[in-house]
Amino acid sequence: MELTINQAKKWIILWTDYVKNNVELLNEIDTAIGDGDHGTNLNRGTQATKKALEEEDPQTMPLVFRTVALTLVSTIGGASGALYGTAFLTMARLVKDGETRLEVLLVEATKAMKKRGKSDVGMKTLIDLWDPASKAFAEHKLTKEYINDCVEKTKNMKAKKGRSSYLRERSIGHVDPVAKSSSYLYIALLEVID
Amino acid sequence: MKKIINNIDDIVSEMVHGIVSSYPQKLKILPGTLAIARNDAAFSDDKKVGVVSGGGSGHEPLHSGYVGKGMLCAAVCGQINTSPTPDQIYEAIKYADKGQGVLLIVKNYAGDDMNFDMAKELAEFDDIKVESILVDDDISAADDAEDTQGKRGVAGTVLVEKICGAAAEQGMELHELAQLGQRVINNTKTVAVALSAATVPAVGHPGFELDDDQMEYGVGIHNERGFSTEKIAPSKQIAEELINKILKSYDHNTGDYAVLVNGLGSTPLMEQFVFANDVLNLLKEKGIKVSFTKVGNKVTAIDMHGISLTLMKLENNWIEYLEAPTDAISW
Repeated sequence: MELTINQAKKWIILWTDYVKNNVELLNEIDTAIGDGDHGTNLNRGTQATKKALEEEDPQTMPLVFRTVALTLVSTIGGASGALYGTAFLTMARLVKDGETRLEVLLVEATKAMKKRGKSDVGMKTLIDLWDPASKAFAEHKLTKEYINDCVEKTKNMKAKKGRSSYLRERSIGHVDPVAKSSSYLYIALLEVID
Repeated sequence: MKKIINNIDDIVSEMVHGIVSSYPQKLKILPGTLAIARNDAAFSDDKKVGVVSGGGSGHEPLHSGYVGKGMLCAAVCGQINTSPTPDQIYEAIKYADKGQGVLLIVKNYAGDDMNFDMAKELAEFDDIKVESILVDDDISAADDAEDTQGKRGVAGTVLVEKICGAAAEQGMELHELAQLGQRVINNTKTVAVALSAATVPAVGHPGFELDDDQMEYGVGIHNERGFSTEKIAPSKQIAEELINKILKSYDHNTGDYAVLVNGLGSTPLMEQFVFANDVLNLLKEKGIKVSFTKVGNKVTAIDMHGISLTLMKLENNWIEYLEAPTDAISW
């Protein structure tokens, strides 16, 4: 399926609202296995993105994704900024080259993030949300319940990438905060295309 | 938490401005960034490979204190314990490039690795030659490095920056410089011990608690926990423990070594020199030849009380690079 430009903008802005309304929750989740600032950092980036979309009002699909990518990457910082930036930059490149199928964009964005983070499924990262969710979306099987299940599954994983990996066994028992913040992006998508 | 600050959100920006205002002949801020770069007359005429580093703040004087002729051309300061962003790293690369390309010295953390990687892509898109090396000298996380992000980049980074900076100053070309840097990294091993954890300002309390009579071996510079919590021991015993762990990680212990005794932020120099005395005596007893020693707060973890020991097995003319003059304010 393809998104219209307005749907794409609505999707991202809906995501930024989800992040804004869950800053404390994301920080709390991140406190268990990280610095406790994922909500704050991501909200800084998504609010800047919302502002950029509203003020710059990009008129083409590549520009929408490019604006999102560059704003996120320059305002979040850390690993999550680079990963979200990589996802949207990949989508921007693909739509610029004429690939507009959303299912392809999401799968390719996931591949690009795996490469950027030298990671794969099962390492307790956002890939554990993006990989299954993008595949389920391509098969028209993505639901809100499935998205939340994917987040819950990260709880029993041992972190193998990022700073939380140094907690080793102690990383088990908490969901991955970036998988959680990514889940809002997929939930927002379902709501926009509904 | 007691800190000499204004607002928590302004710490990094105010620190960066404080550094360049204190040394305006040597340093400047690149516009629109928190990157500190060389501002000396010699730099504008340079036709040498640029050396750029950076990372989260809180480890001062790393990296900003090592900007200057003979070390780094620019250092990009991220938020506390958070990697700088690719757009700012890219500005530093552009400033450092004199047509001979730029070497990026990156500590092995997910955020730093990815953000410097993106900056490298941006630079390559603009036809700037860039190579990067990942410093991972912390052997305390070596046993299960496959199951984690890998060995971390810690105090040894300053030695890598010194050697690469000096070699670039002497005219070494980019690819050779990257190979040299990688060999230096392979020969550099660090282990740290903490008596108390660091307090990240935004968090407001120490990252972990140790009892009054406890210390922890193998901590990282972002409050990463170590491999064992023990009763506090005399300096000599701590030195013996760290030396043995490091020497074991080399294939063989022949040749000359450089030694770095590094304070982690709240360790008095008095304690650092007591420890250095023990380290040097023990190495002598073991027949290890030390050709270069440095002691001080070189790579810190905000206000962590603790110390790290770095050994570097020297090759070729590395000692000359270590001893070469530099203008950097904190070497």
